[in-house]
Amino acid sequence: MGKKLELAVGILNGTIGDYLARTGNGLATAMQLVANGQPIAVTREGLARAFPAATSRVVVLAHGLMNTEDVWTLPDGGDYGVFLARDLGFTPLYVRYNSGLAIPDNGAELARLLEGTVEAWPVPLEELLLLGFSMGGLVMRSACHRAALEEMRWLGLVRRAIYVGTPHLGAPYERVGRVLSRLAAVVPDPFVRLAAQIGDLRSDGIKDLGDADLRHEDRARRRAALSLRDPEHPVPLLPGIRHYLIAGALSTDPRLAMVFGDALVPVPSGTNGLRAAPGTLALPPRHVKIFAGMGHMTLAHDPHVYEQIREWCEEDEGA
Amino acid sequence: MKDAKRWRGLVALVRDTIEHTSRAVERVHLDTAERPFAILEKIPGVAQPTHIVHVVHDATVSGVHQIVRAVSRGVVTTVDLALRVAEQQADKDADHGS
Repeated sequence: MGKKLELAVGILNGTIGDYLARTGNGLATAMQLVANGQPIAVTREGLARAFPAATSRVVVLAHGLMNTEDVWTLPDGGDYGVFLARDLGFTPLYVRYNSGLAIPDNGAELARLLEGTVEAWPVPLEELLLLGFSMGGLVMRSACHRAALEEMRWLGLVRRAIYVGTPHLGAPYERVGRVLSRLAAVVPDPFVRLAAQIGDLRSDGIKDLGDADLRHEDRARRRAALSLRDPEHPVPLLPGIRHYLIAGALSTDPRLAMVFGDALVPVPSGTNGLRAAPGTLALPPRHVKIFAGMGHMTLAHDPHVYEQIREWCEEDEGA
Repeated sequence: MKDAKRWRGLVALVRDTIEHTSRAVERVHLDTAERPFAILEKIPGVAQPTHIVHVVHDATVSGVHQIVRAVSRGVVTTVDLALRVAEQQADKDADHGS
């Protein structure tokens, strides 16, 4: 019941979470670290109590739009964080947040949360591994961008960031929705206009997914044109971090996979167009993995995906 | 505490939903009726009585929706108050128990 209730609140937050936060509604989720479904106080005592066996390597897991940390749970129990703890000695930190807020807002909040966590972590920290699913990956990129600007301490501990089903170049369905909503708004019919207004109620978080907006200045340049990719993404993947990208493709037909991807994120968007910076092919092919026959949500809790994540982490050990 | 906060949030959300829906439906209702009224109000002979009907119609529609919003605000305020009282009682019981 508890998990279902949290999921319902997560869905509500993803849908209209910006409104809930703006109106001070008690259903708005504050960004927090959770363990066993309960929030953790980010203080030395709180973290020591929650993680009596804290290690020097931490993996931070951020869920996607309308999810909670439960999205990581495999059907037979366990999740990527638990497995990384078992296999490689990472301490898993699950982030829960209001996915309806603008991605830059969540990014800034995550950056502050991680700074506080690093300050209060019970043992000396050596590594922070970032693992983001879908929108969670964009929130992490936004947090990294903010941390780089403000020279936050935690960014120096990040060696690797793994993005699972993250729409680096935006989500075309949201862009289609945006265009339809704009067209409907100018139709001189009260019922169509009402439909447009209802459509426009979708949260800032959903709207940001359209062009993968990581900064507030990016949000101001929303485009009306329909496009499957945003070739002028202004925030490149940070060069000081090794980035690993996982995308899904429901179809084994390459053309269908390119367009529909995992049903929500097209393959070019999930793989950042194979670019670490605009105009360059800087992502090594071994840092990108496309799982054929896998839908978007499955990417967050699949044994094969975990094997890939572990392989990357182990491979990097010796690098 | 977290549950009480969420319950009050849910109540506030229900109030907001009724409020916004009522305003949107009112606007659609008025805009839809505006078309035939506008046509009739240009026809000599029926323009004057149509205008009177138009004014009465709009006032009635707005009045009904205002009543809906007022009642929902009253109900929500009552429920919110009841939740706060229950919360305070629970806090008192917890204090006595400890």
